[in-house]
Amino acid sequence: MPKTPSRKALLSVLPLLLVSAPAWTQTAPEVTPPSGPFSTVGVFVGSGPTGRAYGTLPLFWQPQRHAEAVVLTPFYAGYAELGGAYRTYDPLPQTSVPAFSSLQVFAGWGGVVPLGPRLRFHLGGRIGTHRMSFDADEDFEGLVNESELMAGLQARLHVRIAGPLVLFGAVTYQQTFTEVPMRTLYGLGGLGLQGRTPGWLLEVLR
Amino acid sequence: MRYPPRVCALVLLLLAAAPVRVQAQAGRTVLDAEALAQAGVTRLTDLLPLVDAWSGHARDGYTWSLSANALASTQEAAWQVWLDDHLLDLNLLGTQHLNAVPVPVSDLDSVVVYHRPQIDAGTVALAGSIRLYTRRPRLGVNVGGSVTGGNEIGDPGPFRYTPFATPNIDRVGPILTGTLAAADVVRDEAQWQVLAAVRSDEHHVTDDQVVERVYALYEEPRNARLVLSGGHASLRAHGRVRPGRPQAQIHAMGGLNKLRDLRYIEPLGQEVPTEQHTRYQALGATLPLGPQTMATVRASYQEARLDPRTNREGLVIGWGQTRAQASLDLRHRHGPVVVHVLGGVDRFEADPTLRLADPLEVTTQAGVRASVAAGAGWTPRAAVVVRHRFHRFRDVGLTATGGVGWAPRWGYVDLHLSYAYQPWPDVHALTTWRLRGFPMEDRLGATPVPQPGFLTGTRRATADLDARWRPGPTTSLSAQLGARLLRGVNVERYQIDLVAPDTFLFVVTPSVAIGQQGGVGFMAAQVEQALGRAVSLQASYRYQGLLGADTPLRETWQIEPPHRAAFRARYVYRNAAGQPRFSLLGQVRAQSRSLWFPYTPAQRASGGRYPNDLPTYVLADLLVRKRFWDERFEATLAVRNLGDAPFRSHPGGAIDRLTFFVKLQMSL
Repeated sequence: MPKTPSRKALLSVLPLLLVSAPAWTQTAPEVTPPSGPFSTVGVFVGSGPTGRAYGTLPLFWQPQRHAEAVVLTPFYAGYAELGGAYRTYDPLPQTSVPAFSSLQVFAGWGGVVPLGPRLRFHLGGRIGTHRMSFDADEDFEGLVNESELMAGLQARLHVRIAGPLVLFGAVTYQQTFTEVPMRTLYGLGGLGLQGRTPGWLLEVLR
Repeated sequence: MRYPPRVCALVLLLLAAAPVRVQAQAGRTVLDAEALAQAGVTRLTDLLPLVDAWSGHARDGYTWSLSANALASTQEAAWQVWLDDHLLDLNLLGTQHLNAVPVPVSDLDSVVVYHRPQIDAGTVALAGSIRLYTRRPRLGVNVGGSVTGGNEIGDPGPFRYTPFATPNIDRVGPILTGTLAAADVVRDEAQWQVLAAVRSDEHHVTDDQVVERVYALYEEPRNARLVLSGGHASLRAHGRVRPGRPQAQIHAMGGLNKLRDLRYIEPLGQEVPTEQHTRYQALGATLPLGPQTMATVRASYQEARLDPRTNREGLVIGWGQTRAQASLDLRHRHGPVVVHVLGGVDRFEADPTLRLADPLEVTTQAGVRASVAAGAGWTPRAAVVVRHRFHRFRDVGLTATGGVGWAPRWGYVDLHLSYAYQPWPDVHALTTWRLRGFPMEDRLGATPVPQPGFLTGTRRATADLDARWRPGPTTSLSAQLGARLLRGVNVERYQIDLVAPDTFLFVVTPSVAIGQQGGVGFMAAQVEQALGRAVSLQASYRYQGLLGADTPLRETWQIEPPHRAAFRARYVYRNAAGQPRFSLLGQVRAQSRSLWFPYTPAQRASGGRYPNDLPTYVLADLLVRKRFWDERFEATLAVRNLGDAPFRSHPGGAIDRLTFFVKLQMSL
């Protein structure tokens, strides 16, 4: 039975939204946004349709719906992100392989191109760990879960709707460095809240 | 300026110069805490890629056999490790675990790596040394800790359930450290500091060929990939009293560590399960005897054992050793002249229950070291130490170093010469103790291999010329030229064969050759360029070659790549107060092909799986570090071997692929 990743993902990012709540009350000026590292912080949550796999992976599995949450902030150059993604993979009917879910935790960095007063284009890379949990019976508990390095590229388009509210769409291409590489492409969209970084958080980050 | 005749006489007599104070960089590399943090150093062996003059190899990726600037071969393991000016004897039967030093890297203030023979602190260090200096705690109570974990790529992932299944690649670590420190000032006159540290480390072999070999030999440990599980605890105290100036200081430390590892022993050609226990205690004091005279006394006692580790073969190596040292260093300054008078005693004893012939080695030493700041940047220096093997009257050894440094405004030029003669065998060499009756093969159930010949009278002569030129405030060029002449060095060569291709087990054919004499030369150059306040670039190249050697010695040295080059780019963002908040370090290292002739039969028998030559490697690392909240938290992200080169430093060792580390550190 297919899992419901988006609900789980939303619950998992709730603490992040609460932590950054003070930032929402201060709307970033649209004409002269604050500058400097960590001057703003944004929390973005999104989900997307079925992903696409390349190489050997689609011979056995089909990536399902997925969800992602990231925190974005201006960095010393460009922007930095920290985030997580939850994805599931269902086996193809003719195979006997188990389904599996994956939790990815990553950090990223990239550049921002302003396309207008409300429009921003982000392009960057991310690197992190990809933890897979297999829906299989194993004698050794350690074989049920496995972690591997992942890296990806993401292009994001941000549209400021009103105040701190931002609508975004993104495309992510990523590779997990298993011996047989796992390559996937995902599209997603969602909402975010972006504002000035609270003073206490700015002190911690800087 | 004119100097008193007695000063000039002393200078002429000693032909020498102060090594470290004037020529701060000649013959050594200094890595401060910031440099270590930027390089993502979690285990001490992680600092080796930063030291171009040192090279080495490891079978398990953890225990490195090192050669310091060609002063001794990797087989000799003759380099030393010092902690807060106390010699730590980590060498057990020719194997040194640098990572077994009982101090977390985060507690280090600096590391000084010496590339030349040194006579210092009442002790002779002929083959290079790594000197660790711990960070002094801040006033009050503070706690710290770190956790490091990593992953090497190449896991099967979900493909384990498909026909594309491949062996599992284990994780790296975890490495956990914790420290508790306190410091206070008493009545503005005295200061005391206490620091306690614990560290736990796991090392998993991620290479399947090593796992296969180990698993074929032993049932235990059940996880054949966990080659090392270690932990250590230590307590260090430092007190300073100020009855007047200069200050008197007292320093005490003690610790223990335990390592469970699968130790590869060359004559056996296989891994042996061991459990190493080490305990050490040390005490030191610096006492002013007058306005220009200072006395430093040090004493230490160390005990180390290789105990049995449960295994299905019932193998028990059962080695034990104790070492006690005491030294005295009297320092007197008279104008531009600084003179040290040195004395010491060193007692090494093998486990008496082994009933070996000559289990006890006691040596005494006495010497003098002097330097003169002779004006115009010239600093001649010299030192000589006479060592006497206590219970053999005729065994007298000699070590002498000398040189001259010139430090004009544009840089420095430094010449360093050394000569050492030691007529007794190395107490850390396995051969020494096998010849005295250590029944290693019997205890390990292995086929005896012939005992190599017994050599005495090791002679080493070295020459190093260092130069540095700073054409501007942002540019620096340096070059080194060196030669080493070795005679009577006991280097053994075993032929590594293979009998069971299915299990890929090594066996050592019963032929042993001894290397005695040869020469090694090298030349190296570095360029450093700063670009503004935040970016610095560094490029280096080194060539090392033989100046003639007998066959075993030549084959021992040819395992070191003749050409090595490195390029490093560093970006550091500092806040308004100048504190580094974010750093990025990119590093590319290249080394040329190396030759491993003893593995020629193994290469044939394994179809090239155990090669007798290792190809050229290019390794790239990327390290990112960010500090948070006024130095309280620190996160480091490291990607090593970014290009995923199938790097292997030893034919029988693990292949290290792209690896990803995360380190989180806290200090409150």
